[in-house]
Amino acid sequence: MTRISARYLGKRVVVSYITLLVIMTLLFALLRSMPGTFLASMITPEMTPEQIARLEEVWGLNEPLWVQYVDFMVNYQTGEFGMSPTRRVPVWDVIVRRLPRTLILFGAGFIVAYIVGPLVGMYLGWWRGSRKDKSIFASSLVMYSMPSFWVAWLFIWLFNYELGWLKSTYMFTKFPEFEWTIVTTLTDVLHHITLPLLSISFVGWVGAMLVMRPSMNNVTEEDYVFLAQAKGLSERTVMIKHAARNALIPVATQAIVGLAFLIDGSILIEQVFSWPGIGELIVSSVLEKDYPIAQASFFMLAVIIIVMRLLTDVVYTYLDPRIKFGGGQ
Amino acid sequence: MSTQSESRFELDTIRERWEPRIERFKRGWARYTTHKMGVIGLVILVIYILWALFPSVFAPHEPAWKAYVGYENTRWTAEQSASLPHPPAFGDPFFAPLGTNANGNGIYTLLVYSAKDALYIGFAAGLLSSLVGVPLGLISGYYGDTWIDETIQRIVDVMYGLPFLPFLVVLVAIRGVNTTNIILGIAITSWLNNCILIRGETLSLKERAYIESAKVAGASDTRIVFRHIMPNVLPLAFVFLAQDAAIAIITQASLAYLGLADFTANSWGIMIENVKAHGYIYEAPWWLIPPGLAITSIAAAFYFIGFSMEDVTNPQKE
Amino acid sequence: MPHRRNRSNGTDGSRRNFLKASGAGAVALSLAGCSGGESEQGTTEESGDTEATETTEETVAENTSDSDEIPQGGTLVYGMSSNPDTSNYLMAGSVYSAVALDLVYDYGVEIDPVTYDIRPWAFTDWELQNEDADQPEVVFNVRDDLTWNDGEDFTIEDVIFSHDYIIENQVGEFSTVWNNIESVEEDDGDWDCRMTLTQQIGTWDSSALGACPMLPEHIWSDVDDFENYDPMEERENGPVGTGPGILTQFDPDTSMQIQFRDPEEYPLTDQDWIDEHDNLVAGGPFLDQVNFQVYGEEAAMTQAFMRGEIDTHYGTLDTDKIPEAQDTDGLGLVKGYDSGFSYMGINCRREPLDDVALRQVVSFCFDDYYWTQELQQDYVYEGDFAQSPGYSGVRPETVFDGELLEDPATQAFTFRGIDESADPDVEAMREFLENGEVIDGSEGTYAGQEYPGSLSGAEASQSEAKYDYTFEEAQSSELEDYSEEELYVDGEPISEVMNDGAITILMDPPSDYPKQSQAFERWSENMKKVGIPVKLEPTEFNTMSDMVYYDAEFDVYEMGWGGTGVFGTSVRSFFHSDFAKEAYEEETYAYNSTGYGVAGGSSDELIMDAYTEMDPEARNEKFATALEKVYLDMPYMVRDYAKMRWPMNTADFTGAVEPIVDPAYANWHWQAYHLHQTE
Repeated sequence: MTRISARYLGKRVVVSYITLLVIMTLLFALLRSMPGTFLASMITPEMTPEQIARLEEVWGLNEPLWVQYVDFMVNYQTGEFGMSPTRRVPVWDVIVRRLPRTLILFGAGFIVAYIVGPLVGMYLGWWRGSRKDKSIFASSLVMYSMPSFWVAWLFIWLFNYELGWLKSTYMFTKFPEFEWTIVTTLTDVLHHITLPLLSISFVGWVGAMLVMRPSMNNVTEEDYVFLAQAKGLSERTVMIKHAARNALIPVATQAIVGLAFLIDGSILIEQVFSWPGIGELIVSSVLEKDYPIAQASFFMLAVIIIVMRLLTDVVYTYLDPRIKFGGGQ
Repeated sequence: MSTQSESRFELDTIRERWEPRIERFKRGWARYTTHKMGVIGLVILVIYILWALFPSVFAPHEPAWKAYVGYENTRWTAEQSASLPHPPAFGDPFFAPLGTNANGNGIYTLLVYSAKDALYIGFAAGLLSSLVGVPLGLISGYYGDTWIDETIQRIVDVMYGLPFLPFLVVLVAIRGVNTTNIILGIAITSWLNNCILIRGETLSLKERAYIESAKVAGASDTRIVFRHIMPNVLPLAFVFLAQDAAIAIITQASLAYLGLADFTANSWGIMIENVKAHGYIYEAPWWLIPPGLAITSIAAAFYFIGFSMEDVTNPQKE
Repeated sequence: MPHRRNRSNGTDGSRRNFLKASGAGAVALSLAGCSGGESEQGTTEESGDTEATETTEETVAENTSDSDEIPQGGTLVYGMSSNPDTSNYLMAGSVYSAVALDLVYDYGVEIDPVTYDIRPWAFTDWELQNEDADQPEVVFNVRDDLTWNDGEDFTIEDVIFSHDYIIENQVGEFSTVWNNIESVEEDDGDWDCRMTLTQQIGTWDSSALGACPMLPEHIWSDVDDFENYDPMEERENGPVGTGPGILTQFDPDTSMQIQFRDPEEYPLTDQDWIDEHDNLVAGGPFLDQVNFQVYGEEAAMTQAFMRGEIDTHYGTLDTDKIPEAQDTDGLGLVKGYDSGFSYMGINCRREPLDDVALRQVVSFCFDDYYWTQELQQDYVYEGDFAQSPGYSGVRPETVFDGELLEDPATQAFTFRGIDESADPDVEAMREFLENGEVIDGSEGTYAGQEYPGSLSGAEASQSEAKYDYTFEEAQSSELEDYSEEELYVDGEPISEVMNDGAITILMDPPSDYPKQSQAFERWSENMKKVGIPVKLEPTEFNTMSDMVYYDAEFDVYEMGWGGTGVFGTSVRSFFHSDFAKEAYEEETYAYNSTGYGVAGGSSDELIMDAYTEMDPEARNEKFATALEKVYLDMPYMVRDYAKMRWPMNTADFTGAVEPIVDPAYANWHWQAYHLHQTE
């Protein structure tokens, strides 16, 4: 890690922060340019103008747009997310409840995809052109081509309706007849998460594989691989220790793409499986014009993505000795 | 006379100039055909192109056809309308090889008539995002760690901070749901993938010894980017073009699932969405499975072709 | 129901639940989507034709069970396809919160779910005083044997506090309270309390006595900011009310749980009037608890019911699943009426739609048979008056001795097809327009169909067309392939009179309501065949409600109302000019979207005459007359009333009261007091 200086890191953090501010600005502009407001659903005909004005004041809609913008930016710096007009509760309560569920599903999906993907990619890349490579590669492309929600329906049909092995809704059993212990909780969550996880990663892992395979193939022609082979190291050792480590570099870059891909996937999957996370929230709040909720959920996802981006940059630099960033020497 | 000889001369030069290219193409084609995957992809694509061009040849009916009544404006009996969606039927009481949906339209007919939509979205969105993403990725990577790179990467960062599907939902909500807006929305978000991956590749490539030596030899930036780096990333770019086309088609289906699609058009995504809207996901497999398979197969065809082309244009591999 | 809740939750499939508190006095109106809608609404039975009459004539099943013989216990699982919002009753806007919270809170009076009489609840008896004053007064007595679910006693102070609190804070969800009630004080004389109304209100008993939920002073007096109050955070068992239910779990994303108190602790369902009631059973609730489960998709919820994971769910069973449910042992359907209707609103402000004649022709073009029989398979009733047949007391054919929904006078605007076919009778409709005809309430043959004359004697606002209609060479591109001729209004092609070159119809996105969009396509084709250019514009519900209720920028739109007034009072909000955009100085939400009363005809006088009438019988007659005039004037083209088919796991649970209005929501609390385990 010595190649990364504190100054470089500091700069990246500042840039990430500014990025977040720009995203928030963009978000504000985009959401406000959608036609209509949520206020229409709150006003009743016999309210006097004063009462309506009070409502507008409560929801901050009577201010000029730029004041609303400044309020929004300032409040978010202090973690003040406001109230949801359609849910009538503080936005933060909704986010706090839902974010962990999304992180669990999506984190698990990410881990599965980025373990399976590079492993298969490594194997295929090393044996590129072999019969096995060709058939596995082609079938993984077919998996990659399936609409995830459609796959999810097929899985539910098979594993839930036909076989009854796995649950197709929620994260926990509602109103269980058993006691919550560590063991029952774990098995219960597993019972519930398997299908959505399967649906996400069924499609998701291929992305990582697609990058790992050519990258692995490239490094097989590098000198150090020949050198390692010449030294008489076992093929396995060379493949994993020497080739794979270097081949992982583009995978780290791809991870950020994969991240976005998985977030999209989880939005659809959350809906199919009644998995009440951020993804389900974000689409419904946009359609309901619940700006406070929409803003906050976009914001949370943006923070996740930006932090991950920062991390991949660091990992990237760490993995590839040839890249040096400003002032690293 | 003189003009004639001149033109013959021109013709000769043209032939001379083109011959090697034609040769190369022939060799490339020969190589391509050795890839079983690529050939399969091409065959699927050709079938769908034929469907798109001549739907009436392949489909037994027009989309307006309805079970029992055909094209007549007569009424269904209660039993008839209760029998819909109807499983596959071959002539008795009507001909619908893949059955019908709840509206009485033939599934197979709709499948054929929807090919055009998928191809259009795939090609348009794929091309658009490649045309934007690849050059930007090259420039960004080559000028890595300069203000140019910074600027492009900051734009990319901002765009990446907005999750794709919800962002599309917002865009479409502002601009209205139609195919053009959906294609634009897909292109706006998917060029990022190309850009960021091409940049990563370029960053690695430009540190290589041969680039250094080209620099020392006094080659201009443009020459280095287009002569030395681009040929090396082009295979990747082809893969991305194909990938983008595939992703665009899948994304369109996802948007339809979320209820955002141009419902006046025929499309496979809408067919799947309709299964859900009518509540037949688990009751009418003849309705649910074909459009999903169609999407899968066309997206896979694009991937197959893309990856086979990668091998052809980049013979050093293997 | 006077108090049952309001609005919200607008996205897919749940439009029907977008309800809204009406300050309009009587009721909580609900703004809903196509109530005949597909997945949530609508219904099926194999033999459609007989069914329509069967349900209307059916009387509520007698129930004389003795509560002592009814088994106590059991957990009912109730599914819903959208989240509840909050457990704070004063802030809860979602019907999905209300299904749980309505079991926790009580009101002063209840409307009998079968006879619609006003019945004692937390108040035992009452009397109207100074009825001719500008602000009449109501005196009433309060039960002294009620307890809050935290063990405290319910007192007169609590009653006064509840009203004060809601009036002082002008709680938005309970605007009925502060719109109708000036104040509630302890009475100096023989009564417990004295309530002063803000104005004369014909339905004072339900609209004032039944408007306010009983709030415990010992809890709410400490709540300064009711908007940010979270009862679940304050107490383990959340909200404190006098009702039989205790909210023991509230996870708005996935589930809620209501546990019922010991029946001994809850005397309200043991009242004499319930015991003596032919259709109701005293002594409930008999269940131990109700578990509510939230599903992400309508389809998943329907499947969960079919597979026995839940015992019932919100709304009505998906039409397509009804035959299967009927064939499955242990599954049943509780019949019920729509609490409102689905309709198309026509903007009476816009030329030439301000002409009754043209609006009537637009209505002729809608193929009712295609919609009700072919698409909805007879699980909706064809629409006519803007009043649900479930609340039939004020419908013209009830008041004036016609046959409910079947009387020929209700069929004035049925589809004009050639010989019962789906092909529109273009010639007849064109002639109707060219002759300047209007179905004005008098007997006659109009566009090829006979009309017996209005039941109440009501007359349309016009007796002949306002414009001179002709059919000449088509100018509009919309008419291509449909008609060579176009409708000309006073010599000008209609495509040039209308802003967008056509009449634009706002409709729900086909993704949410595929069948409805088919019906609309058929409708627009028929109009085009007549020579009226039409465009269909799919619009998201929230956007549409802004365009319609806020801006009044539309030609034609479609929506629905649920939870309308039992006594006809909703008519005032929908059609009186006081509720049109023009009546407000500020840009605001106006119930009267069509501008009827301001332009294109008016029933203002009839409506206000009915609204202030204190005698119930005279009031019904007056409302019926107003309803029929509105019907002829056609600002709303009422499309249908849903037939509710509330799914029920009858293997385990029986005892539902049927058929009553909206068993899953508006009268759900009554069902909750009656359902019990199957022996």
